[in-house]
Order: sequence, then C-alpha cells, then structure tokens
Amino acid sequence: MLTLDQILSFKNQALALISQMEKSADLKQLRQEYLGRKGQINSLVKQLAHLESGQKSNLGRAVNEAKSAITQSLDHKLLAISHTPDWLDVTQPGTQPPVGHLHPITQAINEITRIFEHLGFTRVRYPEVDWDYYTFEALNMPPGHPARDEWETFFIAAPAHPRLGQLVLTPHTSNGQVREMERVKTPPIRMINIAKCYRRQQDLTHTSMFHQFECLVIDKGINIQHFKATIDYFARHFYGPKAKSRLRPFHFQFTEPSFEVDFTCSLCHGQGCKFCKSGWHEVAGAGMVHPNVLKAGGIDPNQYTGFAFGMGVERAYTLKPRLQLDDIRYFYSNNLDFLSQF
Amino acid sequence: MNILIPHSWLLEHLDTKAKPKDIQRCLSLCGPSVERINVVDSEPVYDIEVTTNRIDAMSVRGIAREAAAILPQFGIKAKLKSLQLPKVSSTIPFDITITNNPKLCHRILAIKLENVKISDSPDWLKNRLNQVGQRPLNNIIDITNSVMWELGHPIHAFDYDRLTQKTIIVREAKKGEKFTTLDNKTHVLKGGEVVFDDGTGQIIDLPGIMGTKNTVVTDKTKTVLLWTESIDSRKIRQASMGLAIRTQAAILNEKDVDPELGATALLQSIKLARNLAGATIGSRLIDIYPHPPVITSTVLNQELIDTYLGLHLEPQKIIAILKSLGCIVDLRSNIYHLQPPSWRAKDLTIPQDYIEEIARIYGYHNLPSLLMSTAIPDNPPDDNFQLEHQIKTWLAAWGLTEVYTYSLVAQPDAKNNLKLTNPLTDDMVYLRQFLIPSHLQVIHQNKNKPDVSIFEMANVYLPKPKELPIHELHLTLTTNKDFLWLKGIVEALFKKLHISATFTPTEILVSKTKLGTIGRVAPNIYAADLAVGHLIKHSSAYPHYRPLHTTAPIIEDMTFTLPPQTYLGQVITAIKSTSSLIESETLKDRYENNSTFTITYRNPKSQLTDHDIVPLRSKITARVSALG
Repeated sequence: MLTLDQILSFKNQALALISQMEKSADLKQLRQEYLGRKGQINSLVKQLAHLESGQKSNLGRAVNEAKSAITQSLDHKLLAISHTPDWLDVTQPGTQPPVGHLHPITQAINEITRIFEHLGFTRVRYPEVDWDYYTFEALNMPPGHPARDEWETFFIAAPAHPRLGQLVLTPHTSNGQVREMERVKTPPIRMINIAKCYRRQQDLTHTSMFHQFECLVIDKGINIQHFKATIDYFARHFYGPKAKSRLRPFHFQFTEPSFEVDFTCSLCHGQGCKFCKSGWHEVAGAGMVHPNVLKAGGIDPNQYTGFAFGMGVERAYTLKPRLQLDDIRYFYSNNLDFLSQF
Repeated sequence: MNILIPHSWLLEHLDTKAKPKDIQRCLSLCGPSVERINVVDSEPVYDIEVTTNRIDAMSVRGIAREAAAILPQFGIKAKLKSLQLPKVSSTIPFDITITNNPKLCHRILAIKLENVKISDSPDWLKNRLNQVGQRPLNNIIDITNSVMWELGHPIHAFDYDRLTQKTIIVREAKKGEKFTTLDNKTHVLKGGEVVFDDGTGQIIDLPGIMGTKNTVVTDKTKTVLLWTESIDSRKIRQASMGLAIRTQAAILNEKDVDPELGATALLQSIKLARNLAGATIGSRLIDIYPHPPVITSTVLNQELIDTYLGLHLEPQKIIAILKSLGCIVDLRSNIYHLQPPSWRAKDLTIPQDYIEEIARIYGYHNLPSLLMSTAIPDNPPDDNFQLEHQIKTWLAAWGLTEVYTYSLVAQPDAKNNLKLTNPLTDDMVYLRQFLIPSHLQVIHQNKNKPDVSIFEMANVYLPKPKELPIHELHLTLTTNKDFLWLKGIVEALFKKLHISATFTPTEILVSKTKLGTIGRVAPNIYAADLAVGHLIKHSSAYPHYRPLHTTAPIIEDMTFTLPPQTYLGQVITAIKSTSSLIESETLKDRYENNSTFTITYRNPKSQLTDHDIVPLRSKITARVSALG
C-alpha cells in the first residue's frame, strides 16, 4: 500500500539525483524515467487508484507536488549545464538573414523629407510630365524667352494644349510652385515637392534623369532671413553641425531677388581643398518668389511674399562627408556591387 | 554665360589696389560670380559667370562698373575710370544710302574710314585676344572683337569698296534665300530673319550675328565702313537659334544690349583704327536713331524694402547703393522714385528688381538668419509618402535591393508610348509603361551574381488625349531566385499591410480591384508588379482585432492526389469555403501529384471534438475531388 513517506522519499531521491547530473543526455534519461508514460510518477498515479477516497486526495496532492518539483528541477538543471558549454567559437561567421538595400536616392529623399517635416513643410507630389505653362510660362518665362535655354528640356511628341502649351519632361521641380498655389489657394504655404526631373545632358555630374526637391514658402512678411535660416537648418541637419551656407546673387526669371546657394565643403569646412577647390559647393538655385509667379498662382503679391529653392538630390547627397562619390551616373548603373554598399 | 577678363585689362577701367583674390571674393558675394582665376601669359584672367539679365556686365567695363560699386562695401577703394573717346567733327558727306525699317532695327551708327592699312595687330592686342580665347586675325577685325569684349556692344567692319551698290536696305529675309557667312558656310534662311540687302536682292550681312563673305574686310581692304546697329532682340534670337549661328555678337544682341552703348563702341573703335591701322575719317558720323527707348521709372516703398530684408535699412545707405549703380534716386516721404541708367533699363523695371540691387550690394552675408514664425499649413494632400517608404524598408529588410532605372527606354513597350521629339541618345526615346523590361536588363547586367532580387517604385506614364499623361506609381519586384520565394515576399507584404488578397492564375485581386500581377517573365526570372495607389488604398496601419481564443483547435493533415496542373489556389478556396469552422489551411508539402495540407478547425464558441470533424473531413474530400 502506497504511503506518504514513500512519495516524499521518492521525491527527495529524485531531486538529489537530478542535482548530481552534469550531462544533458543523462537528464533526458531521468526525465523519461520519472515523467515518461511508463515512468515512476505515472506508476504512482496508478497506485493511487487502489486507495480509498480520503487517502487518495491527500496522496494525490503529494504526487502532484513531487511531479512539479521534479519537472522544475529537471528544467533548471538543464538550463544550468547548458550555460557551461564545452567550447563555442564566437569568431566564426554567423548565419545572416538575407540583407537587402535601400537605394541611396531613397535614403536621401527620406532624410530630406524628415528634415523639412520638422520645419512644418508639407510634402507633395506634382507631375513629372507637365505642360509648358506650369514648367515655364507661369514661372515668368513666356514662350521664346532666352532664359528657357538654361534648361536642356526634353519635349514630348504630342499635340499642344490650346491654353497650357506643349508637353515636356519637367527639367526642374519648380512646376510644383504654381500648382501648389492653385491647390492651397490661400497661404500659408510650406511645400516640399520631390520628383524625378529630366534634362538633355549626361556626364560625370549630370544624368538625363535625376531627382530634385523644391521648397516653397509663402505667407505675409516672408523675408530673405527666413530663407537663410531654412537653408542653414537643412545644411546642419543633412551635413552636420559645422555646415554653413552662403548666398550669391544670381538671376532666375521666377524669383526676384535670386540667389545661388553654396554649402561649405564637408571635407575642409570651407578652407578649400582638392575636392572642392574653393571651400564651397554650389548646390541650389533660390530666391524670393517673383510677383508675376504669385499672380499666376492667384496670390496677391501686395499682401504676400515668399521664397523658393530647388536642389538636386543626387548633388546634395554626393556632398555628404566622407562619401567621396564623384560620378553620379553610378546611381543609375544598377550595379549590385555599388548598391550593396549602401 | 561666362566672360574671361584679364586683370590688366580690368585695371584700364578700374582704379583699385585690390588683389585678384579679393576681387574674386567680393564680386562673387555681391555681383557676378568669379568662378576661377586662370593664369594666362603669367597674368590672372578672371572667368566670370554673368547672368542673362545682366548683359551690361558682359564686358570688361561692365565688370569694372560692378567692382567699383562692390569693393568699397568691403572697405577696398575702387573707382571707375572715365573713357577717353575721340570727337568726330567731320562734315564729309556719307555716300551710302541706308533704308532702315525702325521696327526691325532701333539704331544704326556708321562712319567711313580711309587709308586703312590691314596688317597683323600689335602683340599686346593679339595677347589680349588670346587671353580671352579669341583668335587674332588682322588689325581691323581684332579691333572690332576687342571693343566688343571691352565695352559689350558688337561692332562690324564692312569693306567699303565691296559694297558695290553703296546701298544698305534693312529688311526681313524671305524663306529659302541663301547667303554665305564670313566663315565660308552657306545658310538657307527660314524667312523673317533681319538681313541687309544691297538693293539688288543680294544679302550683304546677317546683322547683329555674323558678317557675310561678300562684304567682309580682307587683306586688300583700303576703306572700311565701321558700323553698329541695334536689331530687335527677338529677331536676333530667332535667327541665331534657327540658323544655329551662336556668335558672341548674337549672344549679346539677343539680350537687349543698350543702344546708347553703340556710339561709345564706335568711337572707341575709331580711336583704335587710327592708332593701329593709320585710318583717317572719311565721312561724317551717321546716327539713325528714330525712337530712343523710353526709360521707365519705378516707385519703391521703404516698407517693401524692409519687408524683403527683414530689417530696416537707413535711406542714406539705400540711396548710396542705388547711386553707385548709376540709378537716379529721389526720396520723398519714404518713397523712392527711381530711374535706372540706360544700360539697366530693361533689367530694373519693378520694385523687387531694386530690392535685389540693395540687398546684394548691402550683402546677403550681412543679413541675419532667422526661421519664420508664421503659421504651419495643415492641408496635406492624399499621398502617403511614409507608407511608401515603409514598404521599401520592409522589402530591403527581406533581402531585396532597390534599384532606380531610367523611365526613358529605347523601344516602345506598348501601343501608345509617349515619345521624345528631341532625344539625347538612342537608348532613351520612349516613356515606359512597364518597369519589368528595365529589370530584366538589370539582371542581365549583374549576371555574375548568383541571386539578383530587386525592386523599384516608380511612375509609369500613360498617355491620355488632350490631358496630362496618367502618372501611375508602380512597385515592381523581380528575382532570378525562385518563384515561391518571390510570392512569399508579396504575401508577407500583404500581411504587413493587412490586405487580404486573392491570387488568380492571371492577377492579384483585392475586393475585386486588380492590385497587380505575378508570374514568370523570362526563363527562371519571376516578377510581381503592383499598383502602389491600390496597395495603399486597401492597406491598413493596424488590424481589425479579434478576441484571443478560449477554445482549443483540432489540427490534422490531409493529403490529396490532384490531376496535373491543378491550381492549388482553387484547392485552397475549395477547402476554405467548406465550413466556417476551418480556421486555416496551409500547404505542408507538395510531392508530384500529392499535396498535403495542415487544416486547423476551431469553433470559437465551444470546444470541437473529433466527432464534429468527421462530416467536415468527407465534405472537404468531396469538394476537392470535384475540382478534378
């Protein structure tokens, strides 16, 4: 007849034995002996069946306790010995998950977007194939204007629109300016338009297809200082806290005054080196929105002023400190040896 | 456009002790950008970018004038020297009949020079022309080129004796007329260009652009007709672009050169012709100038200046700046009444033009940098750029590499591709409607790689009559790995986006909308193409939460022997639709015609027993066999 002492002594012996084990194989065997289908716990359970009901519940509880104590002890011991491995070579290469790559242009666009979102800019998307009107005419460049020559524009073989003119591949993202004014109608406007652009050029620093981002801010009292601060903010966040900008006078038909924007070279911080020659890199065209452009967008130039600038994504990215990439055609070579570095 | 200016030539017009480095730095910050200083003939030569609106600065004197206004702002003394021009007081009759058309030509200045001795120019002039990239030819031609460079107004020298008819008629060309320029090239006119006719119908000049062979100065020339004219700038541009003759004269004249400058250029040329070719004056000076341009005044508010600059600038300072640029300034109760000098008449026409002048000479570098404190707009468009980026991030994390391929392709990929009228190269002519062909090229280019799995998110451009082409954003995934891996990626993407899509043999559907396609696109190459707009529209950032289970499932495997080429999608649909108690059915194994599914049954409300499953099991078997 099964007694409480028998159960307790079985439990104590089992726990003692488990504590002496040093190999996981031995623990496995003990687990089988105690907890297996034909194991000792089950045989105790079977013996319970022959007892009277009062006894049964008492001893039954003891068997359950023994079972959980043994289970716990086996688990703990297994964990303990597996923490003292024989030898593990941590220097051997790991089994990597497949590692893919975001294209550097995507990484740059994402970074640029985040920087300007912090300043309250709204990202928008405007056509990459657009009418002459939004690309040139509404930007104060009437048909035949010599300023149009500055963009080596691709034209589309399609009938011209009676009012909006020919279809072109946008050579800049500035077509978003009047489109954004038409969308928002009443300022405030703080827009960032990022899109593909196309120009008839292909060399070390130009590809026929490239990306630009265009920022436009319009409200009452927007001034040149606001533009300077915005471009400085971008420079510091994109290139690091030491980056500085400078404005040089320039001419664009759609801004007045107009500037060209230079950033300090990230290698020499403006001292002048082999990479930059002068200490500065020319990166963007900018200016205060021309009154005629505001008018084209239905905004009263007597009430509102604004600034706008456009910058090449590839150009901006290649000036990152220590990147040292001097041929932007690689971005579109789709060579996996190139892409897998990013 | 750029102009080269030797330092010593600049100093003939500018009185300063500034070093070339200082001139470069100060001019670049406040005026034309001095891009480089080249050393030519052991002398600094500035390479200066002049913007198209500043044709007045496209000369040695123009740059000197800018420098004289800018350098003093930096505390460097500089002053524009005055020009020493000869006086022509001859009264000898001018014996060429000129018939002008004032609509085509706004001013003509001419004078006859006799006793001209054509020879090489002296070394100083030859060197100077070489320094600025012009080829010396003979003294008279070199004088005209040098004066154009120095003063910014083109000037022409005819061989007086070769003007046999002694007649010059200004007229528009007729279509198909031919003439030969002095560089010996024959051109056919398109009609409408301004030409000079000698009265017999013969063209004797393409004025403002290039001289013709039949009247140009030669080695034998004895008498010269020195000539400047102001042809309508639009006409110059039309002819120069149409005939593809892009001379320095055309580049200047198409941008409205100041007609006042014509006289200065002519007198300066006379001075040089006397000194270098022994020329004597052979006629009075002709000046046909029927309608000198009216110079418009502009009214500028002090308040507007302060608005643009974001600070108050003292009127004294403003007046000094504008006067240093040659403007006439009259300040009356906070309003400036302004008149530009003749050389800026076309450029300074609105208040903002003057604000630019004030701001740049004051110096953008002297303005503070302060972020705007105006309201932040709250009107975003529908695009979900963040999710687009998130999708890319997932795909890269699952092992795909993102590519950017050109949207311009060599061959049409549809019936109606948009086509460029002016392609740059043969491989970029059409706007593509599919990304997959470009991806096949990428795989081919990387054929040394065992596994090429790429993706791209880009617009395709679908033409629409009389409207803008539809810009459709596509996400295309292409791999040479294996089909089920690619399909798994697409399924995982749908899972992340909480999209429940159906794959039919031909397309991917979500609530009856076509999301895209997936399949084999070349031997051992598989691709999926998804419309990003639909993908985002049907996506959700979070799931529709279902309470966690309180009942246990019953899980069992079922193996079916299916006829060859049975679509498993149909089998799965058949199993799934058997009963709402079927929670999931996943393919465990597929071997030859046998497919094993792990089927999970669960009733969320009460515990299922083996007994409940028996009828379901036979129903599934029946449904699947019915497919065969």
